[in-house]
Order: sequence, then C-alpha cells, then structure tokens
Amino acid sequence: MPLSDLVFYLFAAMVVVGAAGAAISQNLVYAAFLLLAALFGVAAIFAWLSADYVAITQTIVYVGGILVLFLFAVMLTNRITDARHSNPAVGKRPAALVSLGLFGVLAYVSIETPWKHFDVPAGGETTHLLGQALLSTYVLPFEVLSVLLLAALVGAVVMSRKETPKP
Amino acid sequence: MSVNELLPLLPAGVLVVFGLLLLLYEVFSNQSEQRRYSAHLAVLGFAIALTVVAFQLRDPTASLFLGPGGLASLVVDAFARVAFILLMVAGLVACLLSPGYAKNAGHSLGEYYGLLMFSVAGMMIMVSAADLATFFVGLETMSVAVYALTALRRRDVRSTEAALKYFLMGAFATAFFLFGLALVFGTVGSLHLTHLAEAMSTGTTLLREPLLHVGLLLILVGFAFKVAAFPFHMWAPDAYEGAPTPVTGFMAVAVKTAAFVSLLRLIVVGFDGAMSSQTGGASWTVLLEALSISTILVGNALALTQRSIKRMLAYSSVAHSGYVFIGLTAVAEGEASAGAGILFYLAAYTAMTLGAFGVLAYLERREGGSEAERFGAYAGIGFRHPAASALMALFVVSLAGLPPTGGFFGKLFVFSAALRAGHTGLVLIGVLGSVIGVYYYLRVIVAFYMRDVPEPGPTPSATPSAELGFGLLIAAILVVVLGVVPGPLIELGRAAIASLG
Amino acid sequence: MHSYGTLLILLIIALGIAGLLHTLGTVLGPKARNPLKDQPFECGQIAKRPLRQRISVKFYVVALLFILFDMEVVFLYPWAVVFKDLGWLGFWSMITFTSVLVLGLVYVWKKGALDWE
Repeated sequence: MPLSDLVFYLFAAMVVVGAAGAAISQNLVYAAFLLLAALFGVAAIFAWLSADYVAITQTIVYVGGILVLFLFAVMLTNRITDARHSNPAVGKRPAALVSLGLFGVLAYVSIETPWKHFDVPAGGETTHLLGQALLSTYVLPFEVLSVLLLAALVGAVVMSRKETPKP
Repeated sequence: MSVNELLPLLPAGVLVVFGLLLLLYEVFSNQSEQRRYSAHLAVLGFAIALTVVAFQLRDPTASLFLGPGGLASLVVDAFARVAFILLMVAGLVACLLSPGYAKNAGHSLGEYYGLLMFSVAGMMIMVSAADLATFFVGLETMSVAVYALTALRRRDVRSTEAALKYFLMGAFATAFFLFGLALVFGTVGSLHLTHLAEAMSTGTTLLREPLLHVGLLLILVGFAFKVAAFPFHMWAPDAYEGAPTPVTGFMAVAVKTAAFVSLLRLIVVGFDGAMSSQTGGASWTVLLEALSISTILVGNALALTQRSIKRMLAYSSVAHSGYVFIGLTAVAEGEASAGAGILFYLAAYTAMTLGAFGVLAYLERREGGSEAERFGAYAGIGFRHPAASALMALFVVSLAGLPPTGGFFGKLFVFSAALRAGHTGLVLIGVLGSVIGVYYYLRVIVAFYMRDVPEPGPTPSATPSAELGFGLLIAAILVVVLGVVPGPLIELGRAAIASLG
Repeated sequence: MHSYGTLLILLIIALGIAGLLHTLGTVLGPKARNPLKDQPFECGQIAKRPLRQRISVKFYVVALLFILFDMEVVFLYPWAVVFKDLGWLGFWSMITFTSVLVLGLVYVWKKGALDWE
C-alpha cells in the first residue's frame, strides 16, 4: 500500500473512531473530545485531497471554534459529568439497526457508482479558484450568507439577553 | 452586471434593509418611546416590498447571476413572484398579529420583526433559486431566523423546549439535505437544476445510478422534515405548542409554503420528465404517494385525539402537508394544473392558518401553559368575544375545507388535478382525511359556542390591539375572497406554473 | 498531498514526543500512592470547594459571537487572494457583505451583549 493511501486510512480511521465514540460514549466530556478527533481527521482528509482552503476552514471554524463552544457548554452546565444517557427514549438497538441499514445502502451505492471525476488543481490553487467562484458565479449566495450570519448573530444575542421582562 | 439587472431582487433587498433598520431602531431608540413602532416599521417594509412585486408581476423572467455556461443561479419568474407575494403576505400578517400578543406575553422586541424579515428574505431566495447551492443558503437563512423566533419566550420552559426540538430536528434535516446534495453533486457534477434535469431526462445512463436516487431521496427527506410530513413530523406539535403563538402561525404557513414551492420547482424543473412512469422513475411517484397517504392519515388521526387547540392545529397542519403532497404527486406525473392548485392551496392555507393562530394569540391567557389551551378553557368564549370567535369560526370552516371559503377551493383544485392524473385512490384518502378534519375542526366551534360555561368561567384575557384586528381582517378577507372569487388567483397560479417552462 | 508531507511529519513527531514523554513518565516514575502523597505539595493548596464550577454564561455569548465573526473572516481569505483580479465588482460585493455584518456588530455593541457587567 502506498504511503499516501496509508495516511488516508489512518485519518479515516480517526474520523470513524472519533465519531462512533462521540455517539456511543456515556460521558459528555469524552464525547466532546472524541468529536474533536473526528473533526480534526476530516480536516486532515481535506488536506490530503489538496483542498487546502477547506482544510484550514475546517480547523479554524470547527476544531477551533465550534468544538470550543461545545466544551464551554459542557463546562457551563452544572454537574454535566453526572449526565449519562444521551437519549433513553429510543432504544439502542433500533438506532443501531437504522444506522447500519443506512450505512449498508450508502456503502453499496458508493461502490457501485462511477463517480464524476474533476481535475483537481495542483496544491495551493484552490483558495484562488474559490475566491473567483465566490465573487462571480456565487456572489448572490455569498451576500445572502451575510444575512444568514446576521440572523444567527441576532438570534444569539436575543437568546442570551440579560433583561428578563416581567409579564 | 448593472444595478438595473438586480431590480427583480429588490423586494428581498427591501426586506433585508428594513430588517437592518429595525435592529438599529431597537438599539438606538430611547426607552421612553417603548420602541412602539417596530411592528409598524416592519409592516411598512413588507408593504413596500409587496408593492414592488406587484409592479413587477408582469415583468419577463429575469435570470440573475449567470455562471459558466450562462446558467443563472437565481431565476425570478412569475412563479417566484407569486411565491414572493404569498410569503410576504404571511410575513405582513404575522407582524400585525404580534404586537398585542407580545404585550400580553411580556416581551416586545424589535429583533423579533427583524428576524421575521430576514427569514422571509431567505425564503424568497429559496423559491427563486435555480441551483441547489443557492437554495441551500436561502434555506439556512430562513431556518436560523425561525429557530431564534421560536426561542423568544426565554423564561417559558415550553418555548425553550420547542426551540430546542425544532432546532435539533432542523439541524438533522439540514444534514440529510446537505448529504443528499453532496451525493447529487458526486454523480451529476453540478448542483444546477438544468444539469439535474439533463441527468434525469430519459436515455441518460445517469438515471440508472443508484447514488443519484439516494441523493435525491435524502434531499426529499430534508424537505419532508421542513413541511412536517410523516414520518418526520414528530417535532411539529411540540414546536408549534411552545413557540410564541404568532410565530407558530408564521412557522406553520411561511416555512411550509417556501419548502413546498421550492419542492415544486425542483420537481417541475429538475426532475424534468423523469417521474413519469415510462422512464423508470415511477418509484418516485409511488414514494410521493406513500408520503401523502401516510401524512394525511397520521396527521388527521393524531389531530383527533388532541386536547389542546394549538396541538390540534399542529397535527392538522401535518395533514394539510399531506394534501399538498397529493398535488405534488400529480405534478410529478406531468399534470401541470396541479401546480396551480398547490399555489392556490398554499395561499388559502396561509390566510386561514395565520388567522386561526391569530385568534388564539388574541385569546391566549397571560399565564399560558398547556391547561389554558384545552378546548374546555374556551367554553362560552363565543359570547364573550363575539367578533374574534366569529372570525375563528370562519377560519376553522375554511381549514375544514367547507364552502364558501378558500380552503374548499384549495382542496377542490388539488383533488381535481390529482383525479385528472388518475390518482383516484389518493383523492379518496384525501377526502376521507378531510371528513375526519371536519369533525375535529368543528370541535373548536362547539367549544366556543355550545359548551356550558363552568362557574366561575375561564376567562382568556384578550389583549385587543388595532394591529391585530387589522391582521385578522386581512386574513378573513383573503379567506372569503379566495372562496367566492377563486378565478383570478388560480389564473395567476397557472401563469406562474407556465413560466417554469 | 506531497506538499503536506512535512506537516504530517511534524504532526507525527509532535504526537510522538508528547506520547513518549507521557509514557516514560508513567512507566519509569516511582509509584507509591497514598492519600497524603496525592495532596498538593508546594504547588498550590488543597481544594476547598468542588473544582468543577459553573462558568458564567457570559463566556458563551462571547464565544458565539466569536464563531460568527470567525465565519466572516473565513470568507475574507479567498476574497483577499483574488482581490486584484476581481476589480470593483468584487470590491463592492465584499463591502456589502461586511457592512451587513458591521451593522450587526453595531447592533450587538449597542445592545450591550459585549458588556461584561
């Protein structure tokens, strides 16, 4: 097996183990850290695919931002380490069955399908191309994104506002 | 690109600008003003945007933001413009219903109206997007704003629960949708509806790729979540019950309208012909059929057993999604008139559902809680609040689909189109569902007018406000007009569908 | 892939050193644990209350706002790379994008979400 493939399988294993651990772990703190492994593995796979910009974004936003937010949430909550069941309402068996079924279907079709091949630009060019696309073809979604971020901003502020109006 | 080319998007731009103005007004106005004019500013924004659309309604189709190959990422055609009007009317009426309720519930926030306008702007991107990437950004803009709106009553446990459930389920739906998008991109190599149509058209080998179908299936699941179709409806009752009542009304109508209208575009433009039975796409119609049958049956059956009016309305809105899916099934088989029927149905649904939730917002008791929403809590209301109750009776009759209301013609148009497409069984299920619906909708009237008032009678504390009266009036007029002269709107709907090409 | 080979090597070395030191410490270090030895000695004091304290929710708001503006910055990079090729259209597109978010910042600021007390 060439080294390149070995690296891929290494990081893929990291993602799978991290994600499975995050889903199965009874301890929310462990789950958060296992998620870190999964997200970081995804970033590494992006880099492996020469998608440098996406890899950096994944690291900055998910590993550096969202995960820290998760850990904050864990630390903000009193006695969260005592919380055990992720969701006792639905049994583990049906959940596992559905997940495995979905995995089977997706794995089957992924292997069967001749994927569309794209010419991947040699390393370091993707940011350039992304910038071009983002500000020409996709300039509208780009502008709408600012409204999306603004809505999220307002939502965050409204939900965490200090004053508690009395009826 | 010149500025003139952007004019078709002006309505969405107006909404965003007014949303921003509202945010700034909220933080820069002084306290003594009590920021009373937020709702008026929002209504003004919607009115201006509506006027702009009305002037542009007969304009030719505008393709904006051309990418490689001259494909537009946004197409503002008559179809999109009709959807714009529906969505903005929903937003406008929701704004009018809100101030009285907000005063009653003890929160009055300018952000509320800002978020409402941002979400409508997002919906407008959804309904006019010609490629799924653009669509997705619109979808998320709408969703994020509505999540925040659901969570507004922060001190209320039920509201928080509703927001959390709605958010988690919504995030789940987004994940499905995005995954589907990735698979479609992997097979087709593009997210543009034109390319999707090419891939789906008869004779290409791509149509036989299972991955494409799994991708589209996941996208459909995302839509099903948003419109609360069975089996993805579980979040609806809790979210509808806990959210501030005017928001519930807005959520029930606008989110659903945006999702259905864009699904309509996806099916007509993107699935081009692949759904007709000759090309092996028959499984798609079967799937849509199954979705509509199960949604109608489950929604109606669960609505029957509810004790709270809000939950009953929530489950019945699930059932209404099922009726719209009947129309979509017919559309998928090439029956274009069903598309016009769907637009009409959504218009009537918007007016009557917003009206019903508006009356509930008016009559809601200060302390809230599930007890206050029981049918029994409304005993004898008909005589204490005659005007509101009469309106409620009108909306409920329309929801039940009885003439002479918009709800009746909505069902008529959708069902008759489905009959023309040969879906007799589906229409029978729809009629059966409607009959069940008549029973539980009439329970509301019975509760309002025909129950003995216990001593001391429960008294929902009504908070009258001029805005609310105006909003309810608009909804009532729409319901009646759609029921008495349905012609012009169905014509508009036909023209809209024709513009899809 | 190849250009990231060095990064990968760096990662492996860093993980290796950290792992090695940790393992060496546990394997070679003398182990004689008793309650008295587990107490801090000349490096702090005995905990008087549970260490796992609730952190103020204020951190959370700040973190949320951080992520949102982080997202904004993420979009600035690809723009900055092609800034010169894009011309004025690209410039004004970015100005529109940022001004919406700057107005958002003004709103957040005036709303007091950035105030600590």
